[in-house]
Amino acid sequence: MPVIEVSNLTYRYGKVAALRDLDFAVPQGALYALLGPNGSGKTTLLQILMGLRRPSAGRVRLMGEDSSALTLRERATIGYIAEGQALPGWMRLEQLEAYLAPLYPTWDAALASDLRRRFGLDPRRKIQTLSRGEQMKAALLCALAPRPRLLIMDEPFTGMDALVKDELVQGLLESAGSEGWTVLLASHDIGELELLADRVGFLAGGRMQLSEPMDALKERFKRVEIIMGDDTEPVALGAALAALSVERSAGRVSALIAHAGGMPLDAALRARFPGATRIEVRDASLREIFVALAKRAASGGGREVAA
Amino acid sequence: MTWIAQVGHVMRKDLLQARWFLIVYLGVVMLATARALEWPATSNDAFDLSAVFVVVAGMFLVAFLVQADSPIRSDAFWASRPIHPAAMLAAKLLLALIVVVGAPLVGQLGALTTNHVPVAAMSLLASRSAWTYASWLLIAMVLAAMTSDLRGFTTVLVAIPVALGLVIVSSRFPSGSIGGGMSEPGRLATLMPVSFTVAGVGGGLVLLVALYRKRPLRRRMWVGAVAAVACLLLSIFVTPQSRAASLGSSSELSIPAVAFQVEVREDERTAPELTLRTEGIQLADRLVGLDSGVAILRLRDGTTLRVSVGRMALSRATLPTRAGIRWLGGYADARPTGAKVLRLNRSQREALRAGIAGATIEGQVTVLEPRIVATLPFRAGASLTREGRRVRIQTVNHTAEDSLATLSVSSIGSASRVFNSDWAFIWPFDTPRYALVNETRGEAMMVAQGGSGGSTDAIVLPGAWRVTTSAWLHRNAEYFDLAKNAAWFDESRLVIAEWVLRGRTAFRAEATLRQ
Repeated sequence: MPVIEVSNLTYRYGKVAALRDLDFAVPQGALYALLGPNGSGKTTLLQILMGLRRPSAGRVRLMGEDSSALTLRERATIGYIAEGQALPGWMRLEQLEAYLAPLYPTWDAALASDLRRRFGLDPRRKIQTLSRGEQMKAALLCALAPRPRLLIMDEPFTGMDALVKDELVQGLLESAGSEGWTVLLASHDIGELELLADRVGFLAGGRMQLSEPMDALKERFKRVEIIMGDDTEPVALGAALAALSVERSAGRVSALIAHAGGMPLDAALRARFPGATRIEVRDASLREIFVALAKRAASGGGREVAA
Repeated sequence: MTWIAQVGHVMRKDLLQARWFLIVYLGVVMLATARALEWPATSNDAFDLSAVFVVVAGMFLVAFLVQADSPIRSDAFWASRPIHPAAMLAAKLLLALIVVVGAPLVGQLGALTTNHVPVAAMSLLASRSAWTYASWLLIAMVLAAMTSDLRGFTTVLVAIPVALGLVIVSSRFPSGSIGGGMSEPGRLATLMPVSFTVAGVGGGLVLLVALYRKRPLRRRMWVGAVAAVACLLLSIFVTPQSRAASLGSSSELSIPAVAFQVEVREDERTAPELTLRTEGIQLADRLVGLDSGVAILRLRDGTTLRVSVGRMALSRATLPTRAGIRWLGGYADARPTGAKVLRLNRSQREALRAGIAGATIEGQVTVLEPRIVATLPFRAGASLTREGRRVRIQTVNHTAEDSLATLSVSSIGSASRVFNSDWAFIWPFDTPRYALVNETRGEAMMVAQGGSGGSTDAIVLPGAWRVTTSAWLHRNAEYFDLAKNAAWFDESRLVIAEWVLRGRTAFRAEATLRQ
């Protein structure tokens, strides 16, 4: 059973549809990266998952239950971090931990203490005196200490230095693996997500452009570079590849293509372009895919890239 | 943690979070309590509005508590934690009731106790104050829940009453009822204040529950909030019809027969003049007055003429005294021989030339009864505190003709009056309030009030008021000779009475004619 199950989800701010007919699922134990340009609806989607907003239409189920009808015990198994979330700044960190601990039956004081030490947080300091990065660490501590079954994070790496970010990613990978956590993570930090995620969803223009395992994504999206030995026009080459993005220079074409499978791509390309002096195929990076899909969505591209 | 346990958990957090605000608030409450207890340090005019400050500080305190865990902000910390919305709302409501209402209520009860207010009256005053204050706090909670910060709360807090005031004023002006006298409050009072209370409190609570449960703010919620706040404001300001008004027809009142005489004087040179005379009635312990009187004159040409009589005393008001006490100046023995010249307009005078065949007097009869509220030795410094009323004789000078004594009377009640009298029905009649009674000599004399000045302030919270009046008393001219007898005054006791409305009833009597 998927931990997160979204079907036909639509959310409107007044007359403007922020999310339209979203369908996706996050299986148990997955590390799901939610990507999308600014204003694509990521934060709204996560707030709906947390029950902070009610869907205009459609259904959201968390751990098999309607997200708006979760019991306190079920809610206590969900950790949530949001970039702009207002922490009680008047509290000292130790007071915040003392306030939250009784609310979570699974609160792990030892883990909280360990995280505090790893993040270099002083428990006696008031939250409002912490830097932005330190406040995100405090929020992370509060989300991780209850050892949640589901962790929903909205831009958790904001303001963190590279060392802490690396530690966090490593910690998340370890915990998610050993504890069986399910993590849904929205971030602009594609480099970190590429290391972390085993599933990816791409949201643009309020629609889920794709949602699939990272492996399948890498398998499907390829960067192709072709150098032609004859006088074939690069423009014609790009059109022939039905590429998501094409960069051309004299006698050379670099294209990002969504491969439908079947015949090996190398062989298919050599058959299609017999005059090519060199054909190179490699896995596309998540950043390349993100940029190409974002541009395509911005120019009004449809959902044909979905697997 | 169950949601009930969460209520206490959130309350502890709120107490910690709002501790500085609470300290300031409790300071304001203590000052208001000190003022109510009449501590000399708080006698300054600056403390006149201490009860208002308590209400305003309380409203901002509950607004702070609500917005500390905002029900509408999607970035609110509590919203993404396993905290039951009902627990969060219950914590806010309980804190408002226990701490914000409770603290000034304790102060008020202390002040009422020191003023010897009877337990029944104290319970009534305290519950009324608590209810009024809780209504203000509910308004604050609703508005704070609808807004995301204190600045927004303040703006809306000011804007809504101003807007409602403008609506009420603009809806009243066209009817021409401004300045319409006593009839207007009566009409407003018929708008069922209980309904406003139910709608306001019920609507406010339902709205809070909806906000905490459903979270996103919708336009229709603003409509609901404005309606709830309007109902709450009306429930605070529109009081139920007074007891006096409800005594509109007391058919069981027994009114002795009153003989009226209509005297017509006319000659060829002057216009006719109409005088209504009455022999009056003698009642030992009541004052009877004609109110809203009309003389219906049956004219010889077959027509009738209605002439307004207005108000007229039908009996002499006296204060109850022990048997055997003689009122000096024959005050109690004289029968009121009332006479009132009726005002006629030009057309009425012309109509009267036809001659009067008969006359009927109609109106409402008002019956008032005196009640002794204080009896104390007639000397400077004498004071008495009883049933929420404190009387203190400040100066006595029985040789002076213009000022026999000055005294201070303060009274605690639910309305801004020193005496528990229904002024609207009492003021036109000569109701004596002060008398000097010398029991040793078996004599008494009336004392008139020469003038007064005073102030009204709330006892810690609105709903329980203390009215303080400084009055100076003087003798009537017929008692001046007594001024030389200092011993008489030294032996006397000052008796203070209030007049209580016993009822009103329709009245109709035939009058004799004298032409």
